[in-house]
Amino acid sequence: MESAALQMAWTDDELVARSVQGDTESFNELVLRWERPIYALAYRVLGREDDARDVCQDTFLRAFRGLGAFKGQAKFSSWLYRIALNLCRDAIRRERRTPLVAVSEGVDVGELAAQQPSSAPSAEDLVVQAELSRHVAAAMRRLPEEQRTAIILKEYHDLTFQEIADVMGCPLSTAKTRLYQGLSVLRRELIPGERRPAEVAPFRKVEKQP
Amino acid sequence: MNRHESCHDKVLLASYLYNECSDAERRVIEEHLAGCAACASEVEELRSVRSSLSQWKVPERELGFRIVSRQDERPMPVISRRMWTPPWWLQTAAAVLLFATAAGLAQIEVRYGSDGLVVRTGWSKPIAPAPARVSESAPAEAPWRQELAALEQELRSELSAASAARPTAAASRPASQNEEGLLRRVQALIDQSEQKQRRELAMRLTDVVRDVDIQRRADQMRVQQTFGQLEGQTGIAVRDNRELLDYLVRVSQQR
Repeated sequence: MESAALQMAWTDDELVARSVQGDTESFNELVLRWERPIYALAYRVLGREDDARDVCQDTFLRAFRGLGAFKGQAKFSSWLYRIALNLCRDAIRRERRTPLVAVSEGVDVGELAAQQPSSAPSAEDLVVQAELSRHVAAAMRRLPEEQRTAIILKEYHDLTFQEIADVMGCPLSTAKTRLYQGLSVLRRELIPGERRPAEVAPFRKVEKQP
Repeated sequence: MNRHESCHDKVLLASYLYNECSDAERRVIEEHLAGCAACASEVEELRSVRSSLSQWKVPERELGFRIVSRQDERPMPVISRRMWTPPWWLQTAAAVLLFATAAGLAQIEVRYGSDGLVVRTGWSKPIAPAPARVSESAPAEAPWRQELAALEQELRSELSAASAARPTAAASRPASQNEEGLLRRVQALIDQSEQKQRRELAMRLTDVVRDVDIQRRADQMRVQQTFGQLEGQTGIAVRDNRELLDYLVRVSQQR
Protein backbone atom coordinates (compact mmCIF):
# COMPACT_ATOMS: atom_id res chain seq x y z
CA MET A 1 0.00 0.00 0.00
CA GLU A 2 1.32 3.44 -0.97
CA SER A 3 2.08 6.04 1.65
CA ALA A 4 -0.59 8.48 2.76
CA ALA A 5 1.51 11.41 1.52
CA LEU A 6 1.61 9.97 -1.97
CA GLN A 7 -2.11 9.28 -1.81
CA MET A 8 -2.77 12.92 -0.97
CA ALA A 9 -0.86 14.02 -4.06
CA TRP A 10 -3.03 12.01 -6.41
CA THR A 11 -5.80 13.60 -8.41
CA ASP A 12 -9.41 12.62 -7.89
CA ASP A 13 -9.38 10.70 -11.14
CA GLU A 14 -6.31 8.71 -10.13
CA LEU A 15 -7.88 7.88 -6.79
CA VAL A 16 -11.10 6.87 -8.53
CA ALA A 17 -9.16 4.56 -10.85
CA ARG A 18 -7.44 2.91 -7.88
CA SER A 19 -10.74 2.63 -6.01
CA VAL A 20 -12.33 0.89 -8.96
CA GLN A 21 -9.53 -1.68 -8.74
CA GLY A 22 -10.54 -2.34 -5.15
CA ASP A 23 -8.24 -0.02 -3.19
CA THR A 24 -10.53 1.04 -0.39
CA GLU A 25 -7.96 3.42 1.07
CA SER A 26 -7.90 5.44 -2.13
CA PHE A 27 -11.64 5.80 -1.92
CA ASN A 28 -11.33 6.85 1.70
CA GLU A 29 -8.93 9.58 0.59
CA LEU A 30 -11.68 10.80 -1.75
CA VAL A 31 -14.12 10.70 1.17
CA LEU A 32 -11.71 12.77 3.22
CA ARG A 33 -11.43 15.33 0.41
CA TRP A 34 -15.12 15.67 -0.31
CA GLU A 35 -17.07 14.91 2.85
CA ARG A 36 -17.06 18.52 4.07
CA PRO A 37 -18.29 20.06 0.78
CA ILE A 38 -20.93 17.36 0.40
CA TYR A 39 -22.06 17.84 3.98
CA ALA A 40 -22.18 21.63 3.49
CA LEU A 41 -24.23 21.21 0.31
CA ALA A 42 -26.68 18.87 2.02
CA TYR A 43 -26.90 21.12 5.07
CA ARG A 44 -27.69 24.19 2.99
CA VAL A 45 -30.22 22.38 0.87
CA LEU A 46 -31.92 20.55 3.76
CA GLY A 47 -31.29 22.86 6.70
CA ARG A 48 -30.84 20.10 9.25
CA GLU A 49 -27.52 18.82 10.49
CA ASP A 50 -28.56 15.23 11.08
CA ASP A 51 -30.25 14.92 7.71
CA ALA A 52 -27.24 16.49 6.06
CA ARG A 53 -24.98 13.98 7.76
CA ASP A 54 -27.15 11.09 6.62
CA VAL A 55 -27.21 12.37 3.06
CA CYS A 56 -23.44 12.84 3.17
CA GLN A 57 -22.88 9.29 4.36
CA ASP A 58 -25.32 7.84 1.83
CA THR A 59 -23.70 9.84 -0.95
CA PHE A 60 -20.35 8.16 -0.37
CA LEU A 61 -21.91 4.76 0.07
CA ARG A 62 -23.74 5.10 -3.22
CA ALA A 63 -20.68 6.49 -4.91
CA PHE A 64 -18.63 3.56 -3.70
CA ARG A 65 -21.16 1.03 -4.87
CA GLY A 66 -21.62 2.83 -8.17
CA LEU A 67 -17.93 3.37 -8.94
CA GLY A 68 -18.18 0.87 -11.78
CA ALA A 69 -20.85 3.00 -13.43
CA PHE A 70 -18.78 6.17 -13.12
CA LYS A 71 -17.05 6.45 -16.47
CA GLY A 72 -15.25 9.67 -15.83
CA GLN A 73 -17.55 11.56 -18.21
CA ALA A 74 -17.85 14.29 -15.56
CA LYS A 75 -15.67 15.44 -12.70
CA PHE A 76 -15.82 13.06 -9.77
CA SER A 77 -16.97 15.95 -7.56
CA SER A 78 -19.81 16.81 -9.97
CA TRP A 79 -20.88 13.20 -9.86
CA LEU A 80 -20.85 13.31 -6.04
CA TYR A 81 -22.86 16.56 -6.04
CA ARG A 82 -25.39 14.96 -8.32
CA ILE A 83 -25.79 11.93 -6.05
CA ALA A 84 -26.03 14.18 -3.00
CA LEU A 85 -28.68 16.41 -4.60
CA ASN A 86 -30.76 13.41 -5.57
CA LEU A 87 -30.61 12.18 -1.99
CA CYS A 88 -31.53 15.66 -0.77
CA ARG A 89 -34.50 15.68 -3.08
CA ASP A 90 -35.63 12.34 -1.65
CA ALA A 91 -35.21 13.67 1.87
CA ILE A 92 -37.23 16.80 1.05
CA ARG A 93 -39.98 14.69 -0.45
CA ARG A 94 -40.08 12.58 2.69
CA GLU A 95 -40.08 15.51 5.07
CA ARG A 96 -42.22 17.89 3.06
CA ARG A 97 -44.65 18.56 5.87
CA THR A 98 -42.00 19.60 8.39
CA PRO A 99 -41.32 23.33 8.45
CA LEU A 100 -37.69 24.07 7.86
CA VAL A 101 -36.86 27.37 9.49
CA ALA A 102 -37.85 29.76 12.17
CA VAL A 103 -36.96 33.40 12.17
CA SER A 104 -37.43 35.43 15.31
CA GLU A 105 -40.02 38.10 14.84
CA GLY A 106 -39.32 41.78 15.16
CA VAL A 107 -35.80 41.65 13.77
CA ASP A 108 -35.16 44.09 10.99
CA VAL A 109 -33.16 42.11 8.49
CA GLY A 110 -32.46 45.21 6.49
CA GLU A 111 -30.78 46.77 9.48
CA LEU A 112 -28.83 43.63 10.09
CA ALA A 113 -27.61 43.56 6.54
CA ALA A 114 -26.64 47.20 6.75
CA GLN A 115 -24.67 46.47 9.92
CA GLN A 116 -22.55 43.92 8.14
CA PRO A 117 -19.12 43.80 9.76
CA SER A 118 -16.26 45.01 7.63
CA SER A 119 -13.09 43.38 8.90
CA ALA A 120 -12.11 42.34 12.42
CA PRO A 121 -15.29 41.10 14.09
CA SER A 122 -16.04 42.08 17.68
CA ALA A 123 -18.28 40.00 19.93
CA GLU A 124 -21.17 42.18 18.81
CA ASP A 125 -20.24 41.68 15.20
CA LEU A 126 -20.24 37.95 15.73
CA VAL A 127 -23.75 38.09 17.14
CA VAL A 128 -24.89 40.18 14.20
CA GLN A 129 -23.10 37.78 11.87
CA ALA A 130 -24.85 34.79 13.41
CA GLU A 131 -28.20 36.57 13.09
CA LEU A 132 -27.44 37.49 9.52
CA SER A 133 -26.41 33.93 8.77
CA ARG A 134 -29.77 32.74 10.11
CA HIS A 135 -31.67 35.28 8.05
CA VAL A 136 -29.80 34.43 4.89
CA ALA A 137 -30.54 30.78 5.60
CA ALA A 138 -34.21 31.58 6.15
CA ALA A 139 -34.45 33.61 2.95
CA MET A 140 -32.71 30.85 1.00
CA ARG A 141 -35.10 28.22 2.33
CA ARG A 142 -38.07 30.11 0.98
CA LEU A 143 -36.68 30.00 -2.55
CA PRO A 144 -37.92 27.32 -4.92
CA GLU A 145 -35.65 24.34 -4.57
CA GLU A 146 -34.10 24.66 -8.03
CA GLN A 147 -33.18 28.31 -7.56
CA ARG A 148 -31.77 27.57 -4.14
CA THR A 149 -29.68 24.68 -5.41
CA ALA A 150 -28.28 26.73 -8.29
CA ILE A 151 -27.25 29.51 -5.90
CA ILE A 152 -25.72 27.05 -3.41
CA LEU A 153 -23.67 25.30 -6.08
CA LYS A 154 -22.44 28.61 -7.43
CA GLU A 155 -21.83 30.56 -4.25
CA TYR A 156 -20.50 27.87 -1.92
CA HIS A 157 -19.04 25.29 -4.26
CA ASP A 158 -17.67 27.45 -7.07
CA LEU A 159 -19.15 25.35 -9.83
CA THR A 160 -19.21 26.87 -13.29
CA PHE A 161 -22.61 27.39 -14.88
CA GLN A 162 -21.89 24.46 -17.15
CA GLU A 163 -21.14 22.23 -14.14
CA ILE A 164 -24.32 23.42 -12.44
CA ALA A 165 -26.24 22.55 -15.59
CA ASP A 166 -24.62 19.10 -15.61
CA VAL A 167 -25.25 18.43 -11.95
CA MET A 168 -28.82 19.65 -12.10
CA GLY A 169 -29.44 18.03 -15.44
CA CYS A 170 -30.71 21.15 -17.20
CA PRO A 171 -29.61 23.38 -20.10
CA LEU A 172 -26.89 25.94 -19.44
CA SER A 173 -29.22 28.91 -19.91
CA THR A 174 -31.70 27.39 -17.46
CA ALA A 175 -28.99 27.11 -14.85
CA LYS A 176 -28.16 30.79 -15.30
CA THR A 177 -31.79 31.86 -15.23
CA ARG A 178 -32.53 29.87 -12.07
CA LEU A 179 -29.61 31.44 -10.33
CA TYR A 180 -30.46 34.95 -11.45
CA GLN A 181 -34.09 34.60 -10.45
CA GLY A 182 -33.09 33.30 -7.06
CA LEU A 183 -30.70 36.16 -6.50
CA SER A 184 -33.39 38.65 -7.48
CA VAL A 185 -35.78 37.25 -4.88
CA LEU A 186 -33.06 37.39 -2.25
CA ARG A 187 -32.32 40.96 -3.27
CA ARG A 188 -35.87 41.97 -2.43
CA GLU A 189 -35.63 40.17 0.88
CA LEU A 190 -32.14 40.96 2.03
CA ILE A 191 -31.30 44.40 0.68
CA PRO A 192 -32.65 47.30 2.67
CA GLY A 193 -34.04 49.85 0.27
CA GLU A 194 -36.05 53.00 0.84
CA ARG A 195 -37.61 52.27 -2.49
CA ARG A 196 -38.94 48.90 -1.34
CA PRO A 197 -40.08 49.15 2.25
CA ALA A 198 -43.06 46.88 1.64
CA GLU A 199 -40.85 44.20 0.13
CA VAL A 200 -38.75 43.83 3.24
CA ALA A 201 -41.74 43.28 5.45
CA PRO A 202 -42.80 39.80 4.31
CA PHE A 203 -39.47 38.48 5.60
CA ARG A 204 -40.79 38.67 9.14
CA LYS A 205 -43.75 36.53 8.43
CA VAL A 206 -42.18 33.17 8.56
CA GLU A 207 -43.45 29.87 9.69
CA LYS A 208 -42.35 28.97 13.17
CA GLN A 209 -40.68 25.83 14.23
CA PRO A 210 -42.94 23.56 16.27
CA MET B 1 -27.26 44.80 -28.01
CA ASN B 2 -29.56 47.71 -27.29
CA ARG B 3 -30.70 48.92 -23.93
CA HIS B 4 -33.95 47.05 -23.96
CA GLU B 5 -32.38 43.65 -24.69
CA SER B 6 -29.71 44.12 -22.08
CA CYS B 7 -32.24 44.99 -19.38
CA HIS B 8 -33.95 41.70 -19.92
CA ASP B 9 -31.00 39.51 -20.70
CA LYS B 10 -30.71 38.06 -17.24
CA VAL B 11 -28.71 35.13 -18.53
CA LEU B 12 -26.01 37.50 -19.67
CA LEU B 13 -26.17 39.49 -16.44
CA ALA B 14 -25.71 36.28 -14.44
CA SER B 15 -22.61 35.44 -16.47
CA TYR B 16 -21.33 38.97 -15.92
CA LEU B 17 -21.99 38.82 -12.20
CA TYR B 18 -19.89 35.68 -11.85
CA ASN B 19 -17.19 36.62 -14.34
CA GLU B 20 -18.19 33.91 -16.75
CA CYS B 21 -18.65 36.02 -19.82
CA SER B 22 -16.35 36.77 -22.70
CA ASP B 23 -14.48 40.07 -22.91
CA ALA B 24 -16.78 41.18 -25.70
CA GLU B 25 -19.86 40.45 -23.59
CA ARG B 26 -18.34 42.26 -20.66
CA ARG B 27 -17.74 45.39 -22.71
CA VAL B 28 -21.31 45.41 -23.96
CA ILE B 29 -22.72 45.01 -20.44
CA GLU B 30 -20.47 47.64 -18.90
CA GLU B 31 -21.44 50.09 -21.64
CA HIS B 32 -25.07 49.43 -20.90
CA LEU B 33 -24.65 49.75 -17.13
CA ALA B 34 -22.95 53.09 -17.61
CA GLY B 35 -26.11 54.39 -19.25
CA CYS B 36 -28.85 52.51 -17.34
CA ALA B 37 -29.19 53.51 -13.68
CA ALA B 38 -31.78 50.81 -12.95
CA CYS B 39 -29.57 47.99 -14.22
CA ALA B 40 -26.48 49.47 -12.54
CA SER B 41 -28.33 49.61 -9.24
CA GLU B 42 -29.62 46.08 -9.76
CA VAL B 43 -26.14 44.69 -10.36
CA GLU B 44 -24.86 46.58 -7.34
CA GLU B 45 -27.56 45.12 -5.14
CA LEU B 46 -27.03 41.63 -6.46
CA ARG B 47 -23.38 41.98 -5.48
CA SER B 48 -24.55 42.99 -2.05
CA VAL B 49 -26.77 39.90 -1.93
CA ARG B 50 -23.77 37.77 -2.79
CA SER B 51 -21.87 39.39 0.05
CA SER B 52 -24.77 38.58 2.42
CA LEU B 53 -24.77 35.00 1.21
CA SER B 54 -21.18 34.64 2.31
CA GLN B 55 -22.42 35.06 5.87
CA TRP B 56 -24.28 31.79 5.80
CA LYS B 57 -22.12 29.43 7.75
CA VAL B 58 -22.40 25.68 8.04
CA PRO B 59 -22.08 24.41 11.60
CA GLU B 60 -18.94 22.40 12.29
CA ARG B 61 -19.63 18.75 12.53
CA GLU B 62 -17.51 15.69 13.11
CA LEU B 63 -17.88 13.48 10.04
CA GLY B 64 -15.06 10.98 9.58
CA PHE B 65 -16.83 8.57 7.25
CA ARG B 66 -14.86 5.57 6.14
CA ILE B 67 -15.62 2.84 3.73
CA VAL B 68 -14.56 -0.45 5.21
CA SER B 69 -14.28 -3.43 2.93
CA ARG B 70 -15.56 -6.72 4.21
CA GLN B 71 -12.22 -8.39 4.69
CA ASP B 72 -11.10 -5.27 6.57
CA GLU B 73 -14.21 -5.23 8.67
CA ARG B 74 -12.83 -7.91 10.94
CA PRO B 75 -9.19 -6.97 11.23
CA MET B 76 -6.57 -9.63 11.83
CA PRO B 77 -6.22 -9.29 15.59
CA VAL B 78 -9.92 -9.82 16.07
CA ILE B 79 -10.04 -12.74 13.70
CA SER B 80 -6.99 -14.39 15.21
CA ARG B 81 -8.38 -13.84 18.68
CA ARG B 82 -11.68 -15.32 17.62
CA MET B 83 -9.83 -18.32 16.17
CA TRP B 84 -8.01 -18.92 19.42
CA THR B 85 -11.01 -18.48 21.64
CA PRO B 86 -11.62 -21.86 23.22
CA PRO B 87 -15.14 -23.29 23.63
CA TRP B 88 -17.08 -22.35 26.76
CA TRP B 89 -16.50 -25.62 28.57
CA LEU B 90 -12.76 -25.30 28.09
CA GLN B 91 -12.93 -21.70 29.28
CA THR B 92 -14.85 -22.79 32.36
CA ALA B 93 -12.36 -25.55 33.08
CA ALA B 94 -9.50 -23.11 32.65
CA ALA B 95 -11.23 -20.63 34.95
CA VAL B 96 -11.68 -23.28 37.63
CA LEU B 97 -8.06 -24.35 37.29
CA LEU B 98 -6.88 -20.75 37.39
CA PHE B 99 -9.00 -20.06 40.43
CA ALA B 100 -7.72 -23.17 42.17
CA THR B 101 -4.13 -22.20 41.43
CA ALA B 102 -4.70 -18.66 42.61
CA ALA B 103 -6.42 -19.99 45.70
CA GLY B 104 -3.49 -22.31 46.30
CA LEU B 105 -1.00 -19.48 45.92
CA ALA B 106 -2.96 -17.20 48.19
CA GLN B 107 -3.46 -20.09 50.60
CA ILE B 108 -7.16 -19.77 50.26
CA GLU B 109 -9.33 -22.42 51.69
CA VAL B 110 -12.65 -22.88 49.99
CA ARG B 111 -15.07 -25.14 51.67
CA TYR B 112 -18.71 -25.77 51.08
CA GLY B 113 -20.28 -27.05 54.27
CA SER B 114 -23.42 -26.90 56.32
CA ASP B 115 -22.62 -23.29 57.14
CA GLY B 116 -22.54 -22.40 53.44
CA LEU B 117 -19.59 -21.42 51.26
CA VAL B 118 -16.56 -20.59 53.36
CA VAL B 119 -13.57 -18.83 51.87
CA ARG B 120 -10.57 -18.36 54.09
CA THR B 121 -7.15 -17.00 53.38
CA GLY B 122 -4.13 -18.86 54.69
CA TRP B 123 -3.57 -16.14 57.23
CA SER B 124 -6.73 -16.64 59.13
CA LYS B 125 -6.27 -20.29 58.53
CA PRO B 126 -7.02 -22.74 61.10
CA ILE B 127 -9.52 -25.29 61.61
CA ALA B 128 -9.83 -24.27 65.25
CA PRO B 129 -9.47 -20.50 65.38
CA ALA B 130 -9.12 -20.05 69.17
CA PRO B 131 -6.05 -22.24 69.75
CA ALA B 132 -4.52 -20.81 66.62
CA ARG B 133 -4.57 -17.37 68.12
CA VAL B 134 -2.73 -18.70 71.14
CA SER B 135 -0.14 -20.45 69.06
CA GLU B 136 0.14 -17.36 66.89
CA SER B 137 0.99 -15.21 69.86
CA ALA B 138 3.14 -17.90 71.47
CA PRO B 139 6.28 -17.33 69.42
CA ALA B 140 6.02 -13.64 70.18
CA GLU B 141 5.53 -14.33 73.86
CA ALA B 142 8.33 -16.87 74.27
CA PRO B 143 11.29 -14.52 73.80
CA TRP B 144 9.66 -12.06 76.15
CA ARG B 145 9.48 -14.68 78.89
CA GLN B 146 13.04 -15.68 78.29
CA GLU B 147 14.22 -12.10 78.37
CA LEU B 148 12.26 -11.40 81.50
CA ALA B 149 13.70 -14.49 83.14
CA ALA B 150 17.18 -13.38 82.13
CA LEU B 151 16.51 -9.91 83.48
CA GLU B 152 15.20 -11.35 86.72
CA GLN B 153 18.27 -13.46 86.98
CA GLU B 154 20.47 -10.48 86.31
CA LEU B 155 18.65 -8.38 88.84
CA ARG B 156 18.88 -11.12 91.43
CA SER B 157 22.61 -11.44 90.96
CA GLU B 158 22.90 -7.66 91.13
CA LEU B 159 20.75 -7.73 94.23
CA SER B 160 22.88 -10.32 95.91
CA ALA B 161 26.00 -8.41 94.89
CA ALA B 162 24.49 -5.24 96.22
CA SER B 163 23.40 -6.83 99.46
CA ALA B 164 26.95 -8.03 99.84
CA ALA B 165 28.50 -4.66 99.05
CA ARG B 166 26.03 -2.21 100.63
CA PRO B 167 26.52 -3.13 104.26
CA THR B 168 30.13 -2.07 104.03
CA ALA B 169 29.27 1.04 102.12
CA ALA B 170 26.56 2.03 104.62
CA ALA B 171 27.79 0.42 107.73
CA SER B 172 26.18 3.03 109.99
CA ARG B 173 22.68 2.12 108.79
CA PRO B 174 20.84 -0.88 110.16
CA ALA B 175 21.09 -3.77 107.72
CA SER B 176 17.40 -4.65 107.77
CA GLN B 177 16.36 -1.11 106.83
CA ASN B 178 18.99 -1.01 104.12
CA GLU B 179 17.86 -4.28 102.64
CA GLU B 180 14.19 -3.38 102.80
CA GLY B 181 14.77 -0.19 100.80
CA LEU B 182 16.85 -2.05 98.30
CA LEU B 183 14.17 -4.67 97.85
CA ARG B 184 11.59 -1.98 97.21
CA ARG B 185 13.83 -0.41 94.60
CA VAL B 186 14.43 -3.76 92.97
CA GLN B 187 10.70 -4.46 92.99
CA ALA B 188 10.14 -1.11 91.33
CA LEU B 189 12.79 -1.95 88.75
CA ILE B 190 11.16 -5.27 88.04
CA ASP B 191 7.78 -3.57 87.69
CA GLN B 192 9.25 -1.05 85.27
CA SER B 193 10.88 -3.83 83.31
CA GLU B 194 7.65 -5.74 83.17
CA GLN B 195 5.82 -2.68 81.91
CA LYS B 196 8.49 -2.16 79.30
CA GLN B 197 8.23 -5.75 78.21
CA ARG B 198 4.48 -5.52 78.00
CA ARG B 199 4.80 -2.48 75.78
CA GLU B 200 7.25 -4.32 73.58
CA LEU B 201 4.96 -7.28 73.42
CA ALA B 202 2.08 -5.05 72.50
CA MET B 203 4.18 -3.47 69.77
CA ARG B 204 5.26 -6.83 68.42
CA LEU B 205 1.71 -8.05 68.43
CA THR B 206 0.70 -4.92 66.56
CA ASP B 207 3.43 -5.59 64.01
CA VAL B 208 2.29 -9.14 63.55
CA VAL B 209 -1.34 -8.05 63.18
CA ARG B 210 -0.30 -5.39 60.65
CA ASP B 211 1.76 -7.88 58.65
CA VAL B 212 -1.14 -10.27 58.61
CA ASP B 213 -3.44 -7.50 57.49
CA ILE B 214 -1.10 -6.39 54.68
CA GLN B 215 -0.73 -9.94 53.48
CA ARG B 216 -4.48 -10.43 53.64
CA ARG B 217 -5.08 -7.33 51.54
CA ALA B 218 -2.46 -8.40 49.01
CA ASP B 219 -4.17 -11.74 48.76
CA GLN B 220 -7.55 -10.12 48.34
CA MET B 221 -6.21 -7.93 45.57
CA ARG B 222 -4.66 -10.89 43.83
CA VAL B 223 -7.93 -12.75 44.01
CA GLN B 224 -9.85 -9.71 42.73
CA GLN B 225 -7.38 -9.32 39.87
CA THR B 226 -7.82 -12.91 38.95
CA PHE B 227 -11.57 -12.48 38.95
CA GLY B 228 -11.15 -9.24 36.96
CA GLN B 229 -9.17 -11.08 34.31
CA LEU B 230 -11.84 -13.72 34.10
CA GLU B 231 -14.52 -11.05 33.76
CA GLY B 232 -12.41 -9.23 31.15
CA GLN B 233 -12.17 -12.38 29.09
CA THR B 234 -15.92 -12.81 29.30
CA GLY B 235 -16.37 -9.13 28.32
CA ILE B 236 -14.15 -9.55 25.26
CA ALA B 237 -16.09 -12.59 24.20
CA VAL B 238 -19.38 -10.66 24.60
CA ARG B 239 -17.99 -7.72 22.63
CA ASP B 240 -16.78 -9.98 19.86
CA ASN B 241 -20.23 -11.48 19.62
CA ARG B 242 -21.80 -8.04 19.54
CA GLU B 243 -19.43 -6.92 16.76
CA LEU B 244 -20.28 -10.02 14.81
CA LEU B 245 -24.00 -9.35 15.30
CA ASP B 246 -23.59 -5.69 14.23
CA TYR B 247 -21.73 -6.83 11.19
CA LEU B 248 -24.42 -9.33 10.30
CA VAL B 249 -27.14 -6.71 10.78
CA ARG B 250 -25.25 -4.24 8.57
CA VAL B 251 -24.69 -6.80 5.88
CA SER B 252 -28.31 -7.89 5.93
CA GLN B 253 -29.44 -4.25 5.71
CA GLN B 254 -27.23 -3.66 2.72
CA ARG B 255 -28.82 -6.49 0.84
